[in-house]
Amino acid sequence: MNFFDWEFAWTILPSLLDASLKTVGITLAGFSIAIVLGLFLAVGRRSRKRWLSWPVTGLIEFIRSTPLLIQVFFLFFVMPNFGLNLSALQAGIIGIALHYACYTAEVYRAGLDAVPRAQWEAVTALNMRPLTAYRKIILPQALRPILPALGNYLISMLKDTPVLSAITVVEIMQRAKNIGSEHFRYLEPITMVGLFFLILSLGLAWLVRRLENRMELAR
Amino acid sequence: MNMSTSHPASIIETIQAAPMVQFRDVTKRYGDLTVLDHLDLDVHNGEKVAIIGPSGSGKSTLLRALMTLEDIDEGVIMVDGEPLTHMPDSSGQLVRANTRHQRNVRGKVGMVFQSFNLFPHMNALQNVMEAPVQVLGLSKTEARERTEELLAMVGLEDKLDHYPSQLSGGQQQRVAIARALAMRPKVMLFDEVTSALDPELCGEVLNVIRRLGDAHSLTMLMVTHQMGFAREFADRVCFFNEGRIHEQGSPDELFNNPQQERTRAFLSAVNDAY
Repeated sequence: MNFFDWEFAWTILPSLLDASLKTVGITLAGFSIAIVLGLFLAVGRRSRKRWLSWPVTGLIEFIRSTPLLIQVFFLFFVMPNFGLNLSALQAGIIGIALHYACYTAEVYRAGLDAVPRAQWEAVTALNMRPLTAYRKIILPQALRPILPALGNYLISMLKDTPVLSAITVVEIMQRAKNIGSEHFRYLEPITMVGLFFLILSLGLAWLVRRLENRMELAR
Repeated sequence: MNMSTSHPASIIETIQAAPMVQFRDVTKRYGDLTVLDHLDLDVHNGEKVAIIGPSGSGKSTLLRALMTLEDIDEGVIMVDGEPLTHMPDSSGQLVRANTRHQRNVRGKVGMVFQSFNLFPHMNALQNVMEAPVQVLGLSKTEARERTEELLAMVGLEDKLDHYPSQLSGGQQQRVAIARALAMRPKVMLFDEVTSALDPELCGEVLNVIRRLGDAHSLTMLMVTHQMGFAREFADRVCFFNEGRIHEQGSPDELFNNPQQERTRAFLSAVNDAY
């Protein structure tokens, strides 16, 4: 294998960048779903109503204890047997979102548990509805300490998107593999994909840190 | 048209005399431990009741049950003539209240806690304003007016934009009092509100409560270890022991001439301590 061919790298760059949009899109869509769904799962798991908390707990533990790869395989290849036909991209986004929702749910749960009981008592004494209480009083206090953990899961999810190449989603990793097999050169495309993830992960980490600082200042 | 003249005088009297707060045969247990033991207590409109007694005697549980922070196992609590955690079903039997009924009745009660329990992510203004806006549906302008008035009343008009972490304990507790008052309760509960404060900060909080008692027809229940304040402020003092009211009377009767041995022992122990 020759040393890094800059000219070849230059010619495949547009194609990789094109596929990288899909990677970024999947991450944004997946994480948006995950942080909302995760919150509902966390609140459900903490509920005193067992008909709610038990199934939610079961779902979270089930999903956290099985590999993402199997979950997306199941969604894409097995669900059609039950009449649910999803495109590869749909199955991929739903799969990764659900997977990470269960992780963020546990982060939310830790954050919610850390809000003192006395805050709930104050909220009750002021006759607030539970929804208002969560929105205005409990969540703002729960979010601050868990922001770094949520940020970690965002980066982690970004780095897990190549798993979706296994169900034919042409994100940046799949594109790089295609280029490699067409040209019999893997060095450049795979290196460039690695760099792409490195740069994006570092950028996201920086953004998360800035957000934390802003919330600290807003106090 | 004067409706009242058409009623017999006795009914009018009953209505006026109906207690603002009524505990009827209320029992609360934690496992084997009985915290409130078939408790009966009537508190009349505008009355100021101090509740004293050894720790674990059920004083705080009484207030917490009245704020619905604790479920009761037996009995009924009435607030302003309505059952708090119960409601009449179609046949008039008392059954467990639904959320809506409980919220309606609970709205007549406000509470101030030992540890203030302010919202740490909100400044004083927001702490007081939030519930009137969210719960009572006041406009921001109305709520702000009400808040500024109340914070001025507790002497904190210059601290509106301060966060709890920037306030002293006494100041935090005064914000907490303003926050409870902003909901316009008929009954105010004070649960050892000076116990977490340095002695020199107690005075400013007690002064606020004193002024509140003078200016409003609020019904107040206060669990306290400040015997001096109880004596001066309360219309009635209840001595709690083992989940019951062991002895009660005017401050003068209870402090100067306690009838029960247990009351005397408690009071002399407290006097020794302070």
